[in-house]
Amino acid sequence: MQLSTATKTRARELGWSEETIARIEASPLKDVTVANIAMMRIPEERVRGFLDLVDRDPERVPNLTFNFIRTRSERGVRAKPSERGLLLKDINIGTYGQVPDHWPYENDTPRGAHPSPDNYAPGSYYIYDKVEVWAEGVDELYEDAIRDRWAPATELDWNEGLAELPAEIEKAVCQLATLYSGHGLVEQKILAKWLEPISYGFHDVKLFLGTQIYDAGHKVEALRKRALANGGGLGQAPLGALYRAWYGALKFTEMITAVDVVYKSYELTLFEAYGDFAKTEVERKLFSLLARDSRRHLEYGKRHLLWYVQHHPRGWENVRFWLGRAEAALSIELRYSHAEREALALLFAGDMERIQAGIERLGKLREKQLHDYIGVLDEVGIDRLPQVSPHLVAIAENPLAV
Amino acid sequence: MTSPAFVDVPGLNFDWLNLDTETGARLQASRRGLTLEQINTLTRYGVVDFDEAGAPVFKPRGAVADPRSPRHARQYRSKADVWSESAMLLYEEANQRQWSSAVDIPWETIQPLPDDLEWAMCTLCTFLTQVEFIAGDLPGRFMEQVHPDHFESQLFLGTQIMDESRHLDVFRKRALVNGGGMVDAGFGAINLLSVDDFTEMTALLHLVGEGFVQTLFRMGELIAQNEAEKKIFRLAAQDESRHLAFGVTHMKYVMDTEPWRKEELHHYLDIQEGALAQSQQASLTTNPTTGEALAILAGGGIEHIDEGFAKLLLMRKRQVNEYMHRLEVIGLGDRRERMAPGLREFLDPVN
Repeated sequence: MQLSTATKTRARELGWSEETIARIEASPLKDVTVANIAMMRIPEERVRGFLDLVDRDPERVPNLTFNFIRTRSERGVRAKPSERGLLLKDINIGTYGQVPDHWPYENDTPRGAHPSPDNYAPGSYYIYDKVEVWAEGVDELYEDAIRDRWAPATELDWNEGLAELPAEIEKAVCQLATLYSGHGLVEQKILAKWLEPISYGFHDVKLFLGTQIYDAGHKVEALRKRALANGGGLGQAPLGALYRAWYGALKFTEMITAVDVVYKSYELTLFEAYGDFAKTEVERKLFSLLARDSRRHLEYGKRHLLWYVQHHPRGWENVRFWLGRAEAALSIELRYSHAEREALALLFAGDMERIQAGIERLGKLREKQLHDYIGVLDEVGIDRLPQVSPHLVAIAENPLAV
Repeated sequence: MTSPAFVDVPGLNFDWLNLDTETGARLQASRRGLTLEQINTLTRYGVVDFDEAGAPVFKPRGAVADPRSPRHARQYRSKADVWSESAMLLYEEANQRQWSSAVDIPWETIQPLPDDLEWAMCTLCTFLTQVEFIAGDLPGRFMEQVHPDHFESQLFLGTQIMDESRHLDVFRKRALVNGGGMVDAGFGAINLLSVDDFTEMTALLHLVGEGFVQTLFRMGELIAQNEAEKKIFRLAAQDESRHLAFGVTHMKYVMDTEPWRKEELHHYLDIQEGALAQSQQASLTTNPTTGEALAILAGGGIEHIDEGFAKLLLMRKRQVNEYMHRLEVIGLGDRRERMAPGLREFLDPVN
């Protein structure tokens, strides 16, 4: 076998002797394999060791190709850890960090790699446009979720952090826990359902959604445990009208609008406020941790909407339409699911005798939920106040409005 | 518990204060914390009486349904379709064993490697970052179909998605931290996306796919070149062990409760074993590209690739024999005679 001029040139540049080159040419090795070995800058001594293998097994060893070295991807990448460790943003460098507006591959090719033309199987993905899923800083949100992970079984002081509560207050806590545990179950399902269609160019988004799915599981678990651990029990299940906006979403952004913007904003305001009326240390800590998770989910929702309205030709119009549908579903849930508002009113009141005071405080919560929600959309540049659901406005004015 | 005082306020109802649900109990957390298994000891809230799921609505198990609730069509009714007796334990364990690729891997221990070793590792990591999230996408599809009465299986799958996110992340980080990069992407695991049933998914993904990968990761000492890689493989192996355990215990539950499905399970394995044994592309250890890379890593360089292939053979043997052991646990010990020839040749003789 005669080595090509190119391969011989590389070999000599690496310091392989003429003797070694002659030995290679006398062996059953192919030029392509030797070229690949030279690409890997293997020193002569090691090449001789490889040639010894060829001599011992001339049938099989020459079939090795080492073609992996012929990668078309960017080489020489040396990501450096930052102060917070080696984060996704630290490896989102060069071509590996360039998120294209349209992902061209239908298979599971990782971003920065290229598909092998002879080994290409299209998958079930159908979201290929960045505008459909992207949020600036989604890689950081993923790492924040990892950093802020918690385990409900052990991070809440179930033994010392609960206390016997008056029967109706315990029931009210458990009723709220039942509802939001139920919401968590469906949140987990709907997000998980939308993972598969997202193509691999946007793996940062898939990773973040993975953390939200995990967080939703905590909500299911921790609230169920709270409802069952202190003598209460589960209450009335959610009505489920809310989920029609989630499951009825025909586009990913519609689903995110419904779950991670409209619903999450209301959920976050409630969870943040819970500390003011929590009756036990477990609830104080539990809702604080849930709020931290919710804040991250809302942040993704907000940033995704921001990207979407700036980059989609019908961004503003589509989002306005979807906000309307999501608000309608939420308002039906809040208006017709009396268990939530009554449980909150009772918790605020402290007992039945002061229920009227509880209702007034509930009104303030609903006002704040609406205000916070409008504020989220203001940050995106959407002036929702003139068009927000009149039912959400009505609930803010009268929390018992149906 | 006494009935609450009735207050006549227009627009208020408070019927939820008098629901016919089982009262909870004052539970004491064990040294493992307050676990799902503990709260499942409360009769109505446990899963014991739910071999058949209730109405197809999104109602937490043990709660009282809202009679107005819309239905949801795509849910399995039979517990055997989705259950694992270990789901609760595995879920809690997953929560306790989460780790961070950013800070729990000693990235500073990765020193420059000769090109053959670096690119071999990058080849392996490209493949792993490619396929790991298929193992997230697929359970994600089936989570919708788990009825709320069997929610623990859904919760476990949620932890798997979290684990696979972390695997995609850590292998991608490894490929990009030491002067290498990605290699061209091969077939990956797209074929797994063709499954159509929860048990089929578990058989192909958890039992076969993750089982084989778990064996490889547990032999990470053979291929790792530094402490960072050893730790990556160790932690990933730990995660895969949970996924594998779910697969084994789900299939065992099917065999224990619906033994007439035995031939169905064999059929799933016939197909997947056939793909692994016959197609060089299908398996990490037999795929030409990743096979060469693994052999270089296991041998310590191209000049020791023969030793590497010998170790790979041992790895393959262990994969197949551990797989056979899991089949025996499941109740499919007769698979020994039915296994695809390309795998059966690696089985140790029966004593």
